Amino acid sequence: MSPPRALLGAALVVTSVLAQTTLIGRLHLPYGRLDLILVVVVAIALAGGATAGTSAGFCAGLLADLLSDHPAGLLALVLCVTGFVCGLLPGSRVHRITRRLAVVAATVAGALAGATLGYAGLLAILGSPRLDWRVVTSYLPGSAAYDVILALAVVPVVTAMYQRLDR
Amino acid sequence: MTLDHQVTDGSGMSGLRSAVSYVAGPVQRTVGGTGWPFSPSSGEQERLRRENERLREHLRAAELDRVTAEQLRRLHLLAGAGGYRVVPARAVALGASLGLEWTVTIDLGTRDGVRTGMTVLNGDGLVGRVKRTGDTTSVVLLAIDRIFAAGSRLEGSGELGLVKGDGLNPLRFQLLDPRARITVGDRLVTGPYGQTTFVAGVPIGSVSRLGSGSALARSAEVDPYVNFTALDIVGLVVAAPRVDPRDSVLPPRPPLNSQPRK
Repeated sequence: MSPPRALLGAALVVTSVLAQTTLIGRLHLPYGRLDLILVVVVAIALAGGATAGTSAGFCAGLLADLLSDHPAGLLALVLCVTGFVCGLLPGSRVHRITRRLAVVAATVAGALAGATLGYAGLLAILGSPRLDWRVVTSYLPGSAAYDVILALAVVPVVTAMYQRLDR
Repeated sequence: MTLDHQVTDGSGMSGLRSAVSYVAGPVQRTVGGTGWPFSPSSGEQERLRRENERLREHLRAAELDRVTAEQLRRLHLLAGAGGYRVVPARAVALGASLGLEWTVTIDLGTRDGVRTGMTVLNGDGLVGRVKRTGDTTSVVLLAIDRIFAAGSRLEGSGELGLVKGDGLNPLRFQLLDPRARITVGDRLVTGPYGQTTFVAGVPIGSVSRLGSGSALARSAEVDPYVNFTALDIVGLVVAAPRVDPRDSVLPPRPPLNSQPRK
């Protein structure tokens, strides 16, 4: 990973965590929640590949962990795996625009489901009283829809940033 | 898998946590304190339109100031009724986890004298308690978080019990005495005086439903007074009242047989 790419990734990660905690987290949407951190990690993974996705996921997750109240490392692990898996997918190498948007939507929805269930699973292993499967399952469809809409705006921008760096 | 499950103050991660909050805290204070930054874009270049825009902005700012002033007034009213010494703070950020955690970050820290365990309230009642302190920001555990629990007392009868959070569902209340009487509409305050980490007498909510079945006869659902999804100005209780406020902080109860006035 070249220094400019690492810098861009770091800037995106820090911005997304701060925006999530100060602004987006306060929206309190019905039937779900909007997660900019996850969307940005997926966008970096799709644009920069598995290595970029893994490191972005780990850094974003650890930052979010340290600004929250659960055991540090949970979101770092979950988002690290999410970034790795999404980086293996052929996100930006699909050329037909409609098909590429479909891939992005499917990837983000899958990433959200995987990350949420992974996080809930870790809480279950730790025996956290915070875990409420009713909330987890009832939020999944709504959150997936919100995140897909956000990703359709964020992923093309992040992809364009990475392509401009490469030129 | 995790770096600091079951945190103790001596663990290495607490240093890292405070380092991160030291760096991120000021940004969260700045960004979170400015309110919602997106205003409708004008898009047009006409002078009148821009002026209109500016005046609207002034109006919005004035309205925001008015809302803040009203929240502060209600906070001080409640603090005065209970004899609490409070320091007002603003909720500037939320915890970033996947929707299972109910914490807010406030713009006061150890520099301002915030200590772990302090009671947090607003003009409506109990908000939570300080879970972790940073230099310039602190994390407040809200009363609706599932790991939250507080000693509480029924208005009037003074029966004691435990209130627990359950996310966006109503709070859960469990009476200690199996023979105690409880009915829908009963109101709850923190307490008893001097025996919990919370200051006594802070309104929590009113009983909305009794637990069904014999085994659950002593439990109830409680609707909190505070709107937890719209927290803005909160107060930290820095000094407990010298005498037990008992039920004096609760708002006056409307008379039962009151007629709607014409």
